[in-house]
Amino acid sequence: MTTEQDRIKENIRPDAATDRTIACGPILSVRELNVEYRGEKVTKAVQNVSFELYKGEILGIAGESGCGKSTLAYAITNMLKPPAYIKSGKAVYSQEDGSPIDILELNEKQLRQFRWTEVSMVFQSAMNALNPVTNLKKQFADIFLAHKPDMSKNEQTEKTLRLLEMVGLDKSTINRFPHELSGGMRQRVIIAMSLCHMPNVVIMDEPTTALDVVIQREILDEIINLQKELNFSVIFITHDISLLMEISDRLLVMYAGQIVEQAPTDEIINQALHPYTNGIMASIPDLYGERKELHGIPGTPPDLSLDIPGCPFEPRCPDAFGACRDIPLQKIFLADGSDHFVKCHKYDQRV
Amino acid sequence: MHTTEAQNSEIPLMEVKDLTVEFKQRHGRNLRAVNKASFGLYAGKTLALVGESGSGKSTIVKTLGKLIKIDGGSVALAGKPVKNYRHTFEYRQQVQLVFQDPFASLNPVHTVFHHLARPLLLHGKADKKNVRDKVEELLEKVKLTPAAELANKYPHELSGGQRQRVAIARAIAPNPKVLLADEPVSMLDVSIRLEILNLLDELRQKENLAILYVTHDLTTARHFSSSIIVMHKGDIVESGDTDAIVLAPGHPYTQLLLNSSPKKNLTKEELGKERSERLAGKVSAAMKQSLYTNKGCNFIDRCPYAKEVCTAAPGYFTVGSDNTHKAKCWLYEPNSRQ
Ligand SMILES: Nc1ncnc2c1ncn2[C@@H]1O[C@H](COP(=O)(O)OP(=O)(O)OP(=O)(O)O)[C@@H](O)[C@H]1O
Ligand SMILES: Nc1ncnc2c1ncn2[C@@H]1O[C@H](COP(=O)(O)OP(=O)(O)OP(=O)(O)O)[C@@H](O)[C@H]1O
Ligand SMILES: [Mg+2]
Ligand SMILES: [Mg+2]
Repeated sequence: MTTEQDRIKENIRPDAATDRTIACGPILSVRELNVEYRGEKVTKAVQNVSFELYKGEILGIAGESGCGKSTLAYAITNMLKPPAYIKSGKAVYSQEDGSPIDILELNEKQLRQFRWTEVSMVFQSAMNALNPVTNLKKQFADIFLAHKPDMSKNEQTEKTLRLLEMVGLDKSTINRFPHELSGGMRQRVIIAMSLCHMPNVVIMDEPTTALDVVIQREILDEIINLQKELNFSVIFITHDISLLMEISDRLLVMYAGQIVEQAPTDEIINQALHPYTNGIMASIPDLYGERKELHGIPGTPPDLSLDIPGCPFEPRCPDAFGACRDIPLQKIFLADGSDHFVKCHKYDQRV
Repeated sequence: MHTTEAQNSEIPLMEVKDLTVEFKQRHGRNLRAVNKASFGLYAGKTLALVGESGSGKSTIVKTLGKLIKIDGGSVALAGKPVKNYRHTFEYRQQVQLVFQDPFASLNPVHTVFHHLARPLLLHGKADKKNVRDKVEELLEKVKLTPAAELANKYPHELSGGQRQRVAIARAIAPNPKVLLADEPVSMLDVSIRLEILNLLDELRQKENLAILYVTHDLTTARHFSSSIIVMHKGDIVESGDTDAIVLAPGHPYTQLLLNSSPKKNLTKEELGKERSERLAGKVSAAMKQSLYTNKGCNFIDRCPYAKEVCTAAPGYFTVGSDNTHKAKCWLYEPNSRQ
């Protein structure tokens, strides 16, 4: 029992990635970000969000529909379109030599340079946006050539085939058109595309909604292996927290535009603090359990155009008490220097 | 709410026999997306169709929805054979579809009212005078309230879950007998997912709908269907009662699918252990998808039980003692059992 086991243990110490990476400093740092949608009423889709993405880690972002996950992803890659606008905040990317780039200050041209090679993004439902009139070979070639104009045809094809294989697609797929592929096959093509230039940061917004669990796992394993090898960072956005519990190193839980809990994933598994985090973990349906009527967390998220003085989860919270309605929330850290915080009055000694 | 009695005593509302669909390819021979699929849909029952990505699930739905023509086999609705391209209007009244993407399936320039008024008028379920009332009735059926207010909204003003409700309302507008739902909740979060499935389940009971529920999620299939068919590379590899499939899967592919499904109620230690094993890369990632090249069993490359006989195509054999539970796998060939 033995060295083999010890070796595995050594490799898999769950916090290994976190230790290693935090030492390297963040590759992406988001500060006090606020994003709104203009309209009859202003929707505050992202509110005071700050977080770090470290080199070589998988950061999960979880939360119910409409909590602002996609808006956040668009914002930190400077891809928001009206009526959305950034009200305040920063997103700073560290280049390989350590010099910072303020992503939100980049102009169109600089952004084009930046995307795909430094940061790439898999958009939610992008599988429906693949160009219908060209085959995949051409679509991959366009992505390669945009940043490496002198890449040879052979090299393009070779790389494309390797990427397709990585996502479990047959070689022959390269000659096919998007409409000839199933939903899940198209989704896999999009994942493959995001890795064309092996960027330092890959942001994936619901990348596996159309995939069965077997293929989902196989692809995630491939990504994790590749990510370990090349040490790039991943932001993985999904409403499926059970998936994040398996693959992420750290987890952010969003509710109503805010991060309500942040922690290393193992700590979420062992001691999730926020009642909302516990709520979404409890609402994962059970495959083997008795068949009965299934329910999620009762109630609905608040209207993001309203000013909520206290906790936005209060109306749905099983643990709510007097203070929750109108006393502003603060980040409560589990311990000094801990990476685990929660925004909940239950844990606030002052309240 | 869930019926589990054997179905073979009843007559199916929609009967699919040896359904085969092929696509032409620019290179090489046709791609057989669906290979001799047979199953039945029953009034007031939900049949779940699960399986691998690219295995032919959507193709079956599109074929049954008359969006693609049949290349072999037959489909019958209420005992009458269904012909390619003919009587589509009447057929459409009885067989309706709901698709995966609630964002793409509605027209952004039209209000909810417009989306629902159209099928109501078209199929004679409302006239100019009462159409507003009928639309509101429909919205209430799918629990989009206040109905009068929601009717005037545009798709972009709705959440994903609300949009999917509109798509369901539109599908049930003509009072269909069969609802084909292709991954209706895959893009939605757990709470909304359960709401929509509970809604479909309620409609199934109230309207005596026959539902084909396509999903890659075995967990919801378990809770919302009375029987399941499993597809892999164009073949139905297993079919049977929901509990039989989930609790005693026969086909090695079904077993793999079940083993890969997220499990609840794992203790923190178990979850942590699975997680570390995965992170250590112990779960093999090797996968080769040889596309439909085998003459024998299509799962042979990945099957832990593969043996000599598997190079020949297996037939359907009964799994266990329940003769409605079948698997397309040599493991269940009576003579090969030890
Ligand atoms: N174009 C828009 N105009 C106005 N409000 C919008 C617009 N797009 C999004 N919103 C609002 O912003 C909020 C956040 O939306 P976002 O798409 O970021 O959520 P999400 O967490 O990605 O949800 P999902 O899980 O459904 O993808 C929601 O309340 C949404 O209604
Ligand atoms: N119009 C088409 N032309 C050519 N091939 C097609 C066409 N539509 C589907 N196919 C092929 O048929 C096979 C089955 O596709 P289908 O969309 O039915 O899969 P699926 O089971 O719904 O997968 P998913 O879970 O990914 O949605 C795939 O190999 C696909 O590439
Ligand atoms: Mg989103
Ligand atoms: Mg499909």
